[in-house]
Amino acid sequence: MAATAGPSTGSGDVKAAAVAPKVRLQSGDKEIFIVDLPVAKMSKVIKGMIEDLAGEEDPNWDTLEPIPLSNVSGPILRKVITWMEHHYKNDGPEPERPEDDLSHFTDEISDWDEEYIKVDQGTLFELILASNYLNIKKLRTVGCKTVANVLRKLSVEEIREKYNIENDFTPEEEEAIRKENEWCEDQDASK
Amino acid sequence: MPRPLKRDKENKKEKTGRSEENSQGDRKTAAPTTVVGLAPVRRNKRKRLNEPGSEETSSPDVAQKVRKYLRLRGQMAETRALLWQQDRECMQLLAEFKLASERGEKENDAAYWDPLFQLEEQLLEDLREERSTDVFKENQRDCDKLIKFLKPKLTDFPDELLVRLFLYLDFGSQHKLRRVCRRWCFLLRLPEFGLHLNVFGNSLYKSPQWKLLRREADAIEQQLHPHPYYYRGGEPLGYSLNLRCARTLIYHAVEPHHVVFGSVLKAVDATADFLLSLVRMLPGLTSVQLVGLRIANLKEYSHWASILPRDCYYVKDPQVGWRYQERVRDDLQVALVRCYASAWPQPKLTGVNTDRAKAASPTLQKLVALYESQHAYVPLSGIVVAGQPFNLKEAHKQLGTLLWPFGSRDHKIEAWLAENVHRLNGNRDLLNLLGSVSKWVNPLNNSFENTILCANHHEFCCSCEEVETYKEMDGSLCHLLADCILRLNDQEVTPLPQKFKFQRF
Repeated sequence: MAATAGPSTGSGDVKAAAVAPKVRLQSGDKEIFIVDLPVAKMSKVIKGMIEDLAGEEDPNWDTLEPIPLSNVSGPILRKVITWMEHHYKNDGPEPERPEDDLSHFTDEISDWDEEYIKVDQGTLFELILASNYLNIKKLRTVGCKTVANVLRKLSVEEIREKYNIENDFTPEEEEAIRKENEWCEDQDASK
Repeated sequence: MPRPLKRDKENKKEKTGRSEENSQGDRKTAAPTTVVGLAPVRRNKRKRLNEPGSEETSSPDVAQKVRKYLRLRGQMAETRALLWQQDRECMQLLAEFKLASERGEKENDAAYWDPLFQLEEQLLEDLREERSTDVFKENQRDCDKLIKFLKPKLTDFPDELLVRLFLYLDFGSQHKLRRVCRRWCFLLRLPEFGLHLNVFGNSLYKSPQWKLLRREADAIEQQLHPHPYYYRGGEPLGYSLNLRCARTLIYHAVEPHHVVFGSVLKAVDATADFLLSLVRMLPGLTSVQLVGLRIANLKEYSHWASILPRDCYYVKDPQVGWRYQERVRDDLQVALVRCYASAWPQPKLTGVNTDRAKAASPTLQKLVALYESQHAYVPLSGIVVAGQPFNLKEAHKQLGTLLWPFGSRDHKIEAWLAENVHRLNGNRDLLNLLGSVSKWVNPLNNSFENTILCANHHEFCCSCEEVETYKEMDGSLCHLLADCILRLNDQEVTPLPQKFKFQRF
């Protein structure tokens, strides 16, 4: 295992963490996770925080305060760490890509990711929000693509129903927008 | 474990009284209150959980909502943990009570405890089996409701995240989703969607969108001819649909063209024609990005690069009136993004040669195994083929560099190949393999087998044409030949004129 992902508050874990540089991440519900430094750095936000915390000198990682990730709950953070560990182990650190890089449009979701993302809707949304907050592009892409694949297959009414979205158009507006997108209706009907 | 056994009799009586009272009404509900005080905890916790929920539900501040969610979720987890711990303790306590009572260690008689035991056992049984008590059900309902409420919804996503998500949808779905709600409609009308037309493979072809485009195109023609206000001085006028506003057409190749065995050129042509039609219908385009193409050779590349900047427009001819004319658009940029040069068409190689290898010699099997273990494509860095005027020569030079590992199609290297390639003649399997592979790697060059492999004696011909033939071959095949020559470990092979950097694709 590249990292020890698991809640821990005892001093025993801190002792074990002295072997390799590890950081402690604190979820919004105060759960502590001990993660390998390079794994944690897969998140741009954590990376930034680590750099801020570390300063110029090589710090003693064991004594550093846990990095607070207040917008991510414990169970979700655990899942995110699992993802980071797997991808760090298998793909290495994510290479820097230019802003206009479009490869994420064409990259296919790996089998592992496909299996990983098979979670209930709420958890999937939480994962997307967490990856967005932590700035883990690849995970965000996987999540967004998964949702996009579902959206693609559903009709407008089904989407409203599934995601509990209120139809806030006036009848006139709805008619106008329906006419504008009339050509998509065949597509809905064909499904 | 707490042992609340040291209780005075009065207290017990009081408790018993309460228990009996309650047992007349809703026994199950009341029982935990009496014994371990379970219900009040639940009730209090529930209250605590519910309280803040209704206050900030409608708060538009997403960050605040998230914080609240996390806080509530933490509380909920805490409550649940506490409840289950209490349940466990309760069960253990009961077991102890019962044991003590049976042994007669306690001053209490069985008559006192038994009804309570029964009651509690029933309660705990209920808790274990689907937790069917009213209190628990109510709590569970509240928890579920809370979970449902607290779980993020698609509508909770910030705008920028929703936009990112929508960008992964194809063009048709993006339009479809505008009908969902006002917010989505607004977001899907943002320039991000209007300026870039994402096409995945030939998904538009024969689709409703395609029909729309065709219809529009017809309408435009009908409308424009003979009064073409569509173009004025080459500049398009006014766009009614965002299709017309599209500045960039991003074509995502979703299927490797080379898998279409034997009809690659046809496939390439079909896709190119499709794209060309699109380009013609989107006059506002300033650039076309081809993403993820797999380009076999220079010819195919030229095909792609040269076909797209062609355009058509109407010109006023004093004699005939308005006339349709083709031109090369010098204002259109064609860019290859994340494209690949095919070095070895692995899918086909695996499929076909595995069967062949069964009956073939060990050498062939080894070769197949060797190349199967390697990646099939060389990623190309982005190339922008700018117009003004479109410089095919320059494009060839660029692609040649990428396909051929020597930096350029160096004559010295070609000469080296021509000089040494005959050493491969000893291996007939290899020659057959190369002949087969050439059809996949270089399908445009159908004459490979006839010119490179002599039909009669399966040898490389040492005619002067041979060098010319190598020039026609794509870099990946030259690469393969060079690799094979070097693998011979033949002392007579002349040293390479420059350092040979094999990329293990």
